[in-house]
Amino acid sequence: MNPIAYFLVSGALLAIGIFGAVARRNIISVLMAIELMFNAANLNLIAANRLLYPDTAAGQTLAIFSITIAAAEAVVGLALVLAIYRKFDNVFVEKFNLLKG
Amino acid sequence: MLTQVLFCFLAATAVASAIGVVVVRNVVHGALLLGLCLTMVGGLYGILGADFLFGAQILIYVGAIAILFLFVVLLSGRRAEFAEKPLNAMAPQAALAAFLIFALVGGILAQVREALHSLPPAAAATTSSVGDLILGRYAIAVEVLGLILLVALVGATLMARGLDKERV
Amino acid sequence: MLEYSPLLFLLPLLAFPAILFGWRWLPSKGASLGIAVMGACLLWSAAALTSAIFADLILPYDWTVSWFQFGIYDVALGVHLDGMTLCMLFVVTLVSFLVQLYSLSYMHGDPRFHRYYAFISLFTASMIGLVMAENLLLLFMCWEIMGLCSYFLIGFWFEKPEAAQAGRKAFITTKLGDLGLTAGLLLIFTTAGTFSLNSLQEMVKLGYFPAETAFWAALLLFCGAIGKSAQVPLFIWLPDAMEGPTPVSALIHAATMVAAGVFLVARTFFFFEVDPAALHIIAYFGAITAFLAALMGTVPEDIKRVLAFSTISQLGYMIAGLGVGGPQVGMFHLTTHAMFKALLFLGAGSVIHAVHTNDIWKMGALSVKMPVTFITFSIGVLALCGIFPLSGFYSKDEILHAAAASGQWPVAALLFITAGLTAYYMTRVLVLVFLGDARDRERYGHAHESPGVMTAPLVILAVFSVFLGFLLHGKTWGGLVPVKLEGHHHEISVLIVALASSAIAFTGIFVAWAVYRKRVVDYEELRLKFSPVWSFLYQRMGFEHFWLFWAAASYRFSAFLAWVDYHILDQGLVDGWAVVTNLLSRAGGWFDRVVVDNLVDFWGWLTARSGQLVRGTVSGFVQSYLLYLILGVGLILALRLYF
Repeated sequence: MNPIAYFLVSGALLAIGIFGAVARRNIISVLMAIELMFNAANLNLIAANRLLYPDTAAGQTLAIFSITIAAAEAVVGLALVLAIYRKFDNVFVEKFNLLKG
Repeated sequence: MLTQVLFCFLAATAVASAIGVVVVRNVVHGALLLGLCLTMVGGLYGILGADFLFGAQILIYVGAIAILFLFVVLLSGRRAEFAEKPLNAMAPQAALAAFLIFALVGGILAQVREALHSLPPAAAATTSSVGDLILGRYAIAVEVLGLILLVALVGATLMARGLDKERV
Repeated sequence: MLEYSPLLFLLPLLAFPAILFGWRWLPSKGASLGIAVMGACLLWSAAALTSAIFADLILPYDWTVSWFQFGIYDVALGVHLDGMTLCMLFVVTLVSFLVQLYSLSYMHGDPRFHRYYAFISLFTASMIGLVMAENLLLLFMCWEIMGLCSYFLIGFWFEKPEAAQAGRKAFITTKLGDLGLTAGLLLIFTTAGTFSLNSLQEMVKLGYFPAETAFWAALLLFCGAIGKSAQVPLFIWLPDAMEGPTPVSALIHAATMVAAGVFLVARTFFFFEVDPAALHIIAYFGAITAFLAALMGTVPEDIKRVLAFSTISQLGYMIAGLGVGGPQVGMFHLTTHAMFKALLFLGAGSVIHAVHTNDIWKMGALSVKMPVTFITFSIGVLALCGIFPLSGFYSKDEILHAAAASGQWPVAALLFITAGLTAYYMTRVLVLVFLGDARDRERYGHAHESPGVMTAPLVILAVFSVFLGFLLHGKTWGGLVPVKLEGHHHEISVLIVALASSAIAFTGIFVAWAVYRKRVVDYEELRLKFSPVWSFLYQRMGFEHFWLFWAAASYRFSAFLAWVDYHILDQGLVDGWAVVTNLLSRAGGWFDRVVVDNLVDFWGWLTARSGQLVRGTVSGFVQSYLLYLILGVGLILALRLYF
């Protein structure tokens, strides 16, 4: 099995996540796209661990940390989504333009 | 051979469901497709020999995060919104940027192609070595991570309850 | 006591604003203050003069205080007192005091009574300052203040057009002479670098001052004297100055205004001494003035006009006396003349007050109604004629003797003839006013003797007119004014001169008596027979026309210059430049508008456009920021990969 395939899948997930984060209107979908990018990174870490340092599990440990951070991020993000939803009564990102110059 | 077939299935399903996550109109479907995609990625961890990670992926992502998304969608969404356009005006540029990033990743891989001709054999029992690292070398990092989780938990709770005085 | 001398100047000077603004709160509308101040000054100067004559007062007395500095020059404010100055101060304060006393009655009921007294005070103050000044600059300032006061006082009844005219005429005519004086001051300062009279005297004496410059400086100073002391040809203002109140005429003619010119020449005599030519010039000016004015004095019917011409004539005497005999001679006549001329004017004022006219043909036989005025006026006339032993005899004789001794026969001859003419016209006035028949019965009926406050000054002045010459002549006066010209060419006996002048004076008196009292010839017929001569004299020998011609000519000349100025300078050059400037500024404006403004606008436009462009990227959409971030990361990655 050629290891490039794992990295390609990882890259594809990353690209799809980028597209979703930029292009989706629904903020929940944006958060989901961000989760996709996290997964791309984790897959990358594990594949690189297996490819370069098969004797250790440092990459997997890092992936565990990443997953944990992702979980925390998702929790905080979703809590924000709820708060924003209560304020704007809406879930579409283009309505949240308080930063507009 | 079996590994290759399995990989092709897992990779194709993961990428397809990921595309589904970012394009479907109904966010509930999106959340369910996210769960599918995460499961497939977990499968990829499995065939890479990271058995602990496979379990963690299924438990944390599929069991917790994807379900959490589903809850939030159900709490916040309305049926009318499902009828609206899922993508904004920047979709073409976003697609272009995504393709650019993918092309760059491809470019990197093309440069290192010769070095990556085959995978080394997987080490046995990665779970125990992961456990050694977590409770040994990276113990302090794990403690900090726990703190982060605690803070995220408290903060999420506060924000989800709302900061209005009368609600506290 | 001499250290109090600055007060002599300051007191009347301060009395001026005090009377002008505070007359409501002063007794008798401020007149009391003026009289009191002048009385104090009179007491001081009388005491100083007495002790200078009879006691050992140390003279000259100098007191200076630094006034201002510019560059290396230090101008001092100072007082210089010597015998001549003290005598002059006595004359000025005495006449001013008596005039103010006299005016109490004469000006009674005038609506501007307080202004009259205020200006008299200022007038006297400036004369006192001029006399005491140690410094030509201060002297010149006082000189000009006096000119201003003469304008105010001659034009005091400015409702009358003649009075206003006369005030203007006096001011402008004397200003013409002041041009020369100013030029002289500038010449002296540029040559010597100081205004101090003492220093200048030292410099001239020691020869540090170039003789030729001294000659021209003397002539320029004399120009000022010509204007102020009414010499030919600038005397024309003085007869018109009769439009002022009569006491003012007395003050002007006796003590202040016209005396200032003579005093200036006497004070700066060290300049004139340097070159005998300067002395000759002033001697001839004086003699001609004396003669012409005496001729003109024989015809007017206005009593004050006659006295005015007599003043001009006597001023000519003084100037001629300065020219032939020096300050000792000229100033002696100035002093005695001040007494009897003030007396004559105040007497004339008393007569005018009684009959309300100036015309001597409407008077006559007033000796019955006004005995005091008649007697004092007669004393004044005799003194002016130079009859022994009245004061005029001594001073006039000094001049005649000096003229005869100097060898300048034309001067001496003119002065002798003038003495006769003087006696003639004064006797004419005396006869026509006080003797003969009353030609205007109505005016005669209303006439009455003036009150005591008017006759008292007459009596005082008459006493001085009688005795002053006797008191001061000879050694006493020589002690006060030691400067006497030496180098007489001809020894000539004083007695011969005295006899000759007396004879001439008596001849004049006799002729006038015969014509106007005894009527041996009919003067009306005589006048008609010599009508051209009479009218020539009556019109002041054409001097008026001479100056009017020059005034008209200079008016036309200035009209021409104004035309040149307006049409050529203004319209041609100035407006031409304006057109050129206008065109240039149009071109500059075009450049400014098109090039500079567009450049500025371009930068503004560029900034605005780029701002709008960049502003479009700041949409407030968080996702667009994310897109930029990704593009940026992609760019860095691509650079890292391929370059």
